[in-house]
Order: sequence, then C-alpha cells, then structure tokens
Amino acid sequence: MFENKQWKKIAIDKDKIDALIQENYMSIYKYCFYHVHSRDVAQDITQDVFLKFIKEIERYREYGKLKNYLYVIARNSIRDYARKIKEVDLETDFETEKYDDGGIDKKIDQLSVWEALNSLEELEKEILILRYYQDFIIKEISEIMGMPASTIRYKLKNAEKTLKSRLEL
Amino acid sequence: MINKRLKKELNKIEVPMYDISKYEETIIKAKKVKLHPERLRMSNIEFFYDQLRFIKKQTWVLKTFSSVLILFLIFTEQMEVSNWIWTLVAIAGPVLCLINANEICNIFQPGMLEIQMTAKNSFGRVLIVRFITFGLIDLVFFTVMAVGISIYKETAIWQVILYGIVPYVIMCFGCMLILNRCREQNISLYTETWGVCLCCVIMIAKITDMRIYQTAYFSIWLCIGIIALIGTIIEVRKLFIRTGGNLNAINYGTSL
Repeated sequence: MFENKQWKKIAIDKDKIDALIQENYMSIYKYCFYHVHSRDVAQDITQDVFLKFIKEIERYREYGKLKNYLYVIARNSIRDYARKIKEVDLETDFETEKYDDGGIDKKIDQLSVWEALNSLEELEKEILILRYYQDFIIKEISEIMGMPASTIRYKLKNAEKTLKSRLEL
Repeated sequence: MINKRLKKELNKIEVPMYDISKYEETIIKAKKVKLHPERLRMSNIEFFYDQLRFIKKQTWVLKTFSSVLILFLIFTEQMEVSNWIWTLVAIAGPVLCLINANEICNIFQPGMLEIQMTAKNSFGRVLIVRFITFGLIDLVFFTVMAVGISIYKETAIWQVILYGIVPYVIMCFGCMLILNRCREQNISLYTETWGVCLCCVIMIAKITDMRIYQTAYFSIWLCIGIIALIGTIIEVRKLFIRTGGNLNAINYGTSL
C-alpha cells in the first residue's frame, strides 16, 4: 500500500500513520526481536523506529521501497541499542522471558539456533536475518545495507556455510 | 536460493506476540508527532511541474502562435520545388529555437526571480527542466509537421525531418556556443542575432535559387546535421559542468 511514493501522503495526512504502522509493525518487531532476543526491548525499538521515521519523513528521499527505509532505521536503532548494552546474556534472557513455554527440548533447540546465529559475524547475521526471516531478495538487502549485491551474496553464502556446520545440517 | 533445511532450522526460534498495548501506544505517540509537510522534498516529477510555472506566459503564447502560424503556412502552400514550403520547414527550427533561447537566457540574467529560483535548486536542474520542456514541445511540433506534410503533401517523411531538424540543431549549437562563451548581459541579443542570421542564410539560399533541397544534397545536410549535433552535445556537457561548479568538475573532470 505504501510503496510507489505513497509515503508522502503520511507527511500530509495523519490518518495514514495508522495504516503504515499496522502494515509494518509485525515485521519490524520480528526483525528487532531476532537481534535483541527480548520482547520488551524489541517493542521499544520498534516504537522508536516508527517515531523516528515519522519525525524525519520530510527528509526522506527516494530510498527505494518505504519498507527498506524502515529497516534501515531499525538497523541503526539496533546498533544504538547494542552500543548502550554491550553484553546481552542470552541464557538469562530466556529464563526471564515469560512467553516461552515450549518445554525443555524446544528451549534447547531454540538456544542452539540462537547460539549458532550469534556465532556469525555481525554483518553475516544481519544478512541472514533479512534473507531467511524477512524474506528479502538480495537486491533489497543490498539497498538496506548500502552494499553491492555481489558482497551480500558472498557474505550470505559464508553465513549459510557456517550455520550449516554449527547446526550439523 | 533459500536453503529449506536451514530455514526450517532457523524457524525453530519462535517470536513471541507483541504487547497490543505497546502497539497502540506507538500509534498514539506517532500521531502526536508534529508533521511538517512544507519541508517535504519534491520528487523530480514534482520539481519538473513546479518549474513550468516559472516559464513566462508570453513564451508559451509566442511558441504556440509561431507553431500554428508555421504549420498554417506550410499546409496552405502548394507542393512544388520552386515554392517556399521547404524554406518554411527549414526556418521553423531556428524560429522555435530562438524563442527557447530567449527564455533560457533569462535564467542567466541575475534578476530577482532567477536568483530566487536558483537559490533553492541547483542551476543545472533548473536548466535541464527548460531543455526537456522545450525539447519535447519542439519534438511534438516536428512530428506533427513531418506526419502532416508526408500525408497531405505526399512527400517522403525523411525529407521533412532532415530539413526541419538540421537547421534546428545548428541553431542549438550556436546558442550553446554563445551561452558558454559570453558572460555579458547582451547574451539574448547575441542569440537573436545568430537566429536571424541563420534564417537569412536559408532565405538567401532560396532567393538566389540555390537548390539545396534536392536529393543530391542529402548527404551534405546529413553531415552538417551530425557535426552540429556532436557540437551541441559537447557544448551542453560543458554548460552543465560549468553550472555545477566544483562538484561537477570533480565528477566529470575539466578536460572539456
């Protein structure tokens, strides 16, 4: 709905904000969650992403798809967050989150995937999340990351290889 | 290609549902943000339409009037080698180009409106809009003229295109040379002089009965047209490098 430069209407008509958030909230939230492993933090960052986008909308300039631009903001917000909190204790997070009620086996499975994902280089992890969780194509990932498609392809291959060996696939 | 086994494994991570209250809070906070639509950047198309407002009404009137008059004269003229039809076709280009040149020269004059116009947008962009606008309008004119003459006067379309376009390109080349080399306020006078001279040359050729519209001269017309076109492209490039200042010089070099 908001592709084809319809984002401009948001800057003029506040009612369009509802639709924008409704349409993109879940995907941005998921993206943040895969990075920060915490529902509360992911929600805070998601909120921050939309507020930043709306505040800066008049500066927005031909960034391809609007969704890509939201991901660029999300990526930067996650980086800011990571800078503030240097170390996130993964296991502690899992123990404290109330939503996780899948049983011990499921939890171990999830932990091993998290660990494998976290063992990747920051850049590779980012590319993998965008490709496998957010279903972006290489071209879109290169727009979001501001890198050539060939580099993205190469990094993705590396990430896949590392993950496969870690997860023993 | 996505590796399905890897995807299945990665999907073991379950993302918990977000808190609805947090989602609603985001919408409420987002709606409280003060928007500034007046600061919104214009897209290239919007900029193009916006710039059309700055082209003077008298330019539009003059262009329409000249186009209609030339077409009227051409279509009412009898189709013979001895008559003035090809001379009119050849003069049409320089006349239309002269009107364009006058308008383009205006943005080289440091008037208040021009300063306002180029203070916010780059001079190069303002210039491109005028080139594209006038280029497209003239293209429509030449298309109508070529198709009309070829149908109603039963003549080859390439002749109309060649005899119409070549003087137009020569005129453009001359105007570009003037714009690149002259800094004085009399710049429009120079282009007008050049236009009048070119029209006079075409008319003299007709009056002295030089049969330049015969098929034998086709290759000469073509050669002159190609040379003028190359010259125009080089001059336009030079002009844009100059108008962009240091930035364009860095991007394109200063070899020209």
